[in-house]
Amino acid sequence: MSLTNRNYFEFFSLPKSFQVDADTLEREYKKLQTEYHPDKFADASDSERVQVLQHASLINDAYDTVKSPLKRAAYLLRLENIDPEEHNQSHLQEAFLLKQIELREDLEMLTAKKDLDGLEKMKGSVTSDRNTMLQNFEVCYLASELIEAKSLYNSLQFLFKLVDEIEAAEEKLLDY
Amino acid sequence: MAYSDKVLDHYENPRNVGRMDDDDENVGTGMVGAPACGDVMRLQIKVNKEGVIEDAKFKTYGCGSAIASSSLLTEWVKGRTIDDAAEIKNTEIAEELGLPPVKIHCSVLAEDAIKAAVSDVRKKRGKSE
Repeated sequence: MSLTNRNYFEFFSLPKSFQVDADTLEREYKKLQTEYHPDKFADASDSERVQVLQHASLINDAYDTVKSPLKRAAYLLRLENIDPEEHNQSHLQEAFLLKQIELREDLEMLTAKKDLDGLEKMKGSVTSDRNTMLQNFEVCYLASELIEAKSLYNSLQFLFKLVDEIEAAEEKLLDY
Repeated sequence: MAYSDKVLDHYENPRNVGRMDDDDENVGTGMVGAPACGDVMRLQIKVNKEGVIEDAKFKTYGCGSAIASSSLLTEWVKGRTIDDAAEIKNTEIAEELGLPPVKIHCSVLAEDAIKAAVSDVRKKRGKSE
């Protein structure tokens, strides 16, 4: 199978959609991993082996992209010729940014107080906001409201980073 | 990637961290963010009747370069008029701090922040552009 000129969803026999069937993704990923395993090409020519390695790396990138909701959102925007990373302050609401500063102040305070319960509660609340926003992204994407979808993607980037930071703070307190 | 000495200095001893009363009509607030790195920046200026910036405060959650860019900016804008401050270019900040190309966007964020703060104080004073 040639992987060029296919979108990442097609790699895994999935429709181009924000909803992804996790079982299909895992199953098809394993199939591809077997098909393009470097060991199978041990006797192949150098140029063939290089190509197989390139394919393996492309497959991994596709898997990461389709599996992660945030990367998948960015990829779907790219497929619609929208640059998800284009820097434009007008895509961010002032109230949203204000809330982001407050949340990071809360995180600092909870970390300083070593308040693990507080951190866990905060993680729950931010994760729930994030899930609502992911649903909103899908609604906008399906309605082809791509400017709004990009704005939601940019807001989601802050929330994903914040959840990572809360988890890092928790791990530090638990001394992992 | 190593930070320059100037970035480290601002990062370790940030100038003018804090907040001012946003309800004060002489205070302009600029809130900006960089989604790709999750950085958020709040820059506030206090402006007198002559349009001169008397004080500036910032709070930035982000990398060292973003913190240094906003810290340096608060030093630069004090004593300038708001018209002057709105003219500060990100390239001046990047040059002063010796930011590498991958960190230029941090100085852009600081420029966006001062512009937003100036436009906020103008709006409050009924001179919206």
